[in-house]
Amino acid sequence: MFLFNELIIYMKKGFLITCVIITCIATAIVLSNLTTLIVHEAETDLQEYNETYADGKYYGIGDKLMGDVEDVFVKQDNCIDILINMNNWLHNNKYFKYFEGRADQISYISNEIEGEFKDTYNDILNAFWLGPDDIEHFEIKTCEGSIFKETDFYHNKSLTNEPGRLCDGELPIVMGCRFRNKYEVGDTLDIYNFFYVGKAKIIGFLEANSKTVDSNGNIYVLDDSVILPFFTDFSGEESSIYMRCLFLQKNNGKLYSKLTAEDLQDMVNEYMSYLGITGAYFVFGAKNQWQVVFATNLDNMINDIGKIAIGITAFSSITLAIFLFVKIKKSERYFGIMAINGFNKNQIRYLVLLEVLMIITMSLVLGIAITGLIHDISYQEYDVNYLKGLFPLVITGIAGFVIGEFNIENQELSSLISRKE
Amino acid sequence: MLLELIDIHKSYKIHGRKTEILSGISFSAEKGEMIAIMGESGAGKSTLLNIAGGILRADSGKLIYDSDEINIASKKELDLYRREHIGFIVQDFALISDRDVEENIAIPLRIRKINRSQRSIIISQALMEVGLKGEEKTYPCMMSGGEQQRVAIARALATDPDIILADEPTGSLDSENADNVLNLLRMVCEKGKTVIIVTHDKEVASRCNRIVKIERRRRD
Repeated sequence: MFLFNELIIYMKKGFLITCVIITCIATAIVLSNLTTLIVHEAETDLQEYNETYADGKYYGIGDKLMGDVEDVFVKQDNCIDILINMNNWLHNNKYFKYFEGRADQISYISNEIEGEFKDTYNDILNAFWLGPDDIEHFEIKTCEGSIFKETDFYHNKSLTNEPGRLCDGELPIVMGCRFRNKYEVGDTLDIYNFFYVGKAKIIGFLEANSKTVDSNGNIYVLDDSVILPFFTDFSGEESSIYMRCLFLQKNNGKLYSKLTAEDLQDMVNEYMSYLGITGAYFVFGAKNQWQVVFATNLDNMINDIGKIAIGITAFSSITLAIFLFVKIKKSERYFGIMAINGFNKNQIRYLVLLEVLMIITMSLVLGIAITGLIHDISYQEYDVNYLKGLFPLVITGIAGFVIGEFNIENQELSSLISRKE
Repeated sequence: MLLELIDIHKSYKIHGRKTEILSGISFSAEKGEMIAIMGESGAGKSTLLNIAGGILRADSGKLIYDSDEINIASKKELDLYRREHIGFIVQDFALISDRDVEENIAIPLRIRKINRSQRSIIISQALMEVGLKGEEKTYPCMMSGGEQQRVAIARALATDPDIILADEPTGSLDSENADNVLNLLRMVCEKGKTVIIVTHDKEVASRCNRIVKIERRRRD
């Protein structure tokens, strides 16, 4: 307790520099964690895709059109044309196959709750928008009724309305096998989704254990889902907001290729540059994806962040070492006074080393807190490997301990008292 | 015999060359004795005092306290000996300037884990002995040299050591304050403590029971 009280008094000397050092080390920790988290995110997704199917690889493709970037993008007159061009390019590329299928949810009016009949009740069902290519590639078949025909993907006039407003047509849907004991082919449901509101007619039931891959790279079993046709042709009477939202969704799919994520990203970068939307799309797992905010690609960004982290670590270590060296020299008189009052060399050593320990602990707490904050406010989900952030701590800690120990070991207690304050 | 130093050798490396400061010095002090150690500069007076106080390790020789030999090779034994039996007073008082009188005197007590209420009693008693009662919250910079040295004496006495080692305790004081400090040390001595003073001042030495002279060793 005495040593702790004395430590607090001792740490007050040069407190401002201590704070600067703590901030520097914490920054180095945050940056180290940040490189981990970005790489970690990319690598995890890649691995999941690779595990899905052995022949070829699946890579998610996503857009970064969010917030302010999206606002700027949608104000462009030709934004829908850009999205449609992007979609066509994705579908007509010889280096990869593109699949649009994506998981969603729909509301529907149910007449049954917990076995009791009710007039109307809105319930939620898992849904999956499936494109014609998904059906062929993943060999999705029905065990009863039929799968979508080519014309079912046509978004005709009867299905067209402003988003959220009732259409007078009838959307063909296929149900997962779980629904076979509840519905029959030809039954209709009243469904609600951003892209369609109105009647939906069941045209078939899927075989049990039918699978596809969702846009997050996981195998997606369709047994519990309502399958909706992801429209490929349009009547031309759709509203611009409808088209924009739909194509934003349609362009967030999966690439199937034998190329690497980086190669695919290069192609995407080239085409985005042609469309004038540099940085809008990224291939999951690609380290060369463009970062709009930093005007560089992810790979360079990781390298740059890494270099900055190493630079700050070196700066922190040197500063801490110099700070400790100077502080110990300036405190010799104080140590001498403590020595004639009963302090021994080990207690002086503990005092100095505890200060180093305190600095690195406070840096660690601050570094983890800031990394956690970045993690929390980030829209993406990933795990942070905090171990990488220990690198700056270990380096600065060693520098501190070595300087502290070196200084104290070379001191004779009796000589300290003769030092001037 | 309360304290005995037998055949003490101590050398330092100066500019890479080993220089012997103390060469087979022996010295002893009785309980309640007030001894002055005199000698020219560089003779090793302070070195001897520091060895007697356990703050400096001798290269060889024996340190005997109350018939028990202290192992001079053992840091732990020396630390314990210093903590339990020795009080130090130095020329420039060795007070921490940003702590008040009470906090300065509390340092050795806190090191010895004496609780707050006991500390408070001991501090006021020590201050009373040195005639500074009521100055607990005064900072050293607001006191005269004589008062600061009295605070240093109060701090040295606070842990009730048997031996007080004083290195030029009056070196920074005028004659009046020096006289007060010596009277105080004499009073301490009369209470049964052994006081060993390193001094250049013959006047100071004359007030002690015994004078020990150390001669500077001829160096080739």
